[in-house]
Amino acid sequence: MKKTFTINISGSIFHIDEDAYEKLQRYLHMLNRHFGAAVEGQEILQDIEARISELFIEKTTNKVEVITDGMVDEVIARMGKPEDFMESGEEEASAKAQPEEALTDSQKIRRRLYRDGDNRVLGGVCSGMGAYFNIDVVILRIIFVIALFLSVGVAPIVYIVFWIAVPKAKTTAQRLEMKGKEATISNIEKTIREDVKEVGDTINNYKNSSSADGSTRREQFGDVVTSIFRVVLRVLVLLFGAVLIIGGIASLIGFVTSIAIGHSFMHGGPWNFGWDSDVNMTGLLEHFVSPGAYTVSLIAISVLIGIPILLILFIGTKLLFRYKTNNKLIGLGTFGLWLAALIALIVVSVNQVGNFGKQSSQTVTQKIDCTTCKTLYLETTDDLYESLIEDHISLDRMKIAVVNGKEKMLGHPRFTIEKSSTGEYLLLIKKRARGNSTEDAQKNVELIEYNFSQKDSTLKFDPYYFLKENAKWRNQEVSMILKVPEGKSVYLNEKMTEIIYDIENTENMWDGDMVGKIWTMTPDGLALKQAPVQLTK
Amino acid sequence: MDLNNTKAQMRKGVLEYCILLVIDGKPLYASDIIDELSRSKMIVVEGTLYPLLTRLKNDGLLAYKWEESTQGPPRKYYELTDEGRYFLNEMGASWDELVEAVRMIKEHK
Repeated sequence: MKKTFTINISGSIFHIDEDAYEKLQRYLHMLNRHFGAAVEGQEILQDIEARISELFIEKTTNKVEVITDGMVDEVIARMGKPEDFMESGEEEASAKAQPEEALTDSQKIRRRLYRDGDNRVLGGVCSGMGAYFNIDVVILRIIFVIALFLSVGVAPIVYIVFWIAVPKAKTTAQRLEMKGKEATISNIEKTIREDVKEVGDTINNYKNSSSADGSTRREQFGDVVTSIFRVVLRVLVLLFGAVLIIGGIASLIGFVTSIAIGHSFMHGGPWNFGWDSDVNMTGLLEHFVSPGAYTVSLIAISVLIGIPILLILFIGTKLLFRYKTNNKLIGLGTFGLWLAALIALIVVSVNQVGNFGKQSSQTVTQKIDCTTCKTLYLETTDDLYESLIEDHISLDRMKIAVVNGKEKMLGHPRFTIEKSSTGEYLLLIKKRARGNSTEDAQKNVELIEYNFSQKDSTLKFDPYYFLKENAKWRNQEVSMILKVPEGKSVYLNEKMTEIIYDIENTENMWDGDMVGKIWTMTPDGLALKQAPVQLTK
Repeated sequence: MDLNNTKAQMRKGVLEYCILLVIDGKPLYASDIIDELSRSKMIVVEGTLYPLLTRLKNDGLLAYKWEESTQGPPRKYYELTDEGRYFLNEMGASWDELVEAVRMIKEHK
């Protein structure tokens, strides 16, 4: 007793028994792979199916109703296997060049990732992936389009990497591999389980062979070790590949975000979520790299960091998908590009370091006109910028604040008090900057803006000095020395903590503790006025 | 040197000419062509014919039309196009030259 199926070949209905059915299916499958998915191949296949149908009709007319194994064999013998067809043309020739068993023993071919040129939109990456994962291409394409909008430009980069790295399936044999034995998660699991089983078997063999002599036991022990090692290695390779892919994509997203968001046209796009800082790498560079070098260094940094990230991604996908790569030229080219970027960056850096080579300073001494007052009251104006400063970025003493969408560079001046040699209060404001020459440094000094004001006996200091617009950071600094004559006093307002820096005093008190008190200049230095003073201001 | 392979190569060379020759005159469908070619032992397996037919058709030498059949589904009937006929004539001439050349060489010995 045999089970039969009802099948439809080229419009005619047949009954066919199970073995015959499987054989026929394998045969048609083989033909399908041989002729390919292109229009021409499909047409040939249809014609052949029509002929097979006709042969079956001839055979089933005389009483025999069911197609049997033998009948299928006869038909196959008559139609011939792909390798029996006498064909010419390049494609067939190259297919023939592949090992013959690749065609007949298709069940055993390991699946590899190829780009599917027959069903492509761009490079056939999605269709190749679809074949590899057994997923409908349409779904992959939709995912890709969504990723296009969400991934800050990473999706196209990843696509191009695949386009370059993954070979296109050209010959029949490659198309076979493309759709070969599935290498999906479940299949990977299966191979690993088989390996594990093998390990178990060898261990059992080892146990059961207790009667055998020592040398075979040692051999078998070696088998156990190697097979365990192989399983562990395979799992590790797969895990490593997955980690590389995830890490590669994550760093690519981070990197592209940092580079690309800086451009104004990228602002406000749907990809701009979750990025709470207004200052980024490109913005930061802008503050101290001269404009010509800025573009060069930006490109160089992109290449320098981008290529290793892409390489990580590439190695990861190669470990997971096991595709063949044949492009030495691209590899060498990429390496060359990376080296060029490295050299460019070094040259630019050396150049930029030169911009800090010379220092210049400018000191302005101002007489504080307060002959009558006994005590000078020192305070700072309100700090308007504190909330606008990007805390995570600082260029030595300077910070970047974003004011009305514009970046402004600012820093706290340093304020200290010394004894005056004359009978007057004097304020020394020293501005310092660096440049590639003394003149340049001097120019950079002049880009510093700093203000204070005096009203009667009160001095109000700005808590920050600023750089004029478009000025580059050249290590600009502002320090102030207030010269206090002997016998005169100063009162340090609480707000002064922001700017006072290492004021020497007889109490050896820390800067932070000096505020809120009146200090008098004595021959020994600044001394705390003993009696607490009630302020009437 | 593989004798069978050489024979197959020789047959392959003239197979397209033979197909055109068989079809010339009246529309035929694949099985008729196969019968004709099998009888003269031009083809070993039938699968050989179909890729060739499709290629000749795509090259514009053959055209086909569907015709109803008394048994089973409609059949593709192939016939020569004008280009196919021209091609056949040219190939015929060159075939005759070849045969003549071979004959002369054989007789000359």
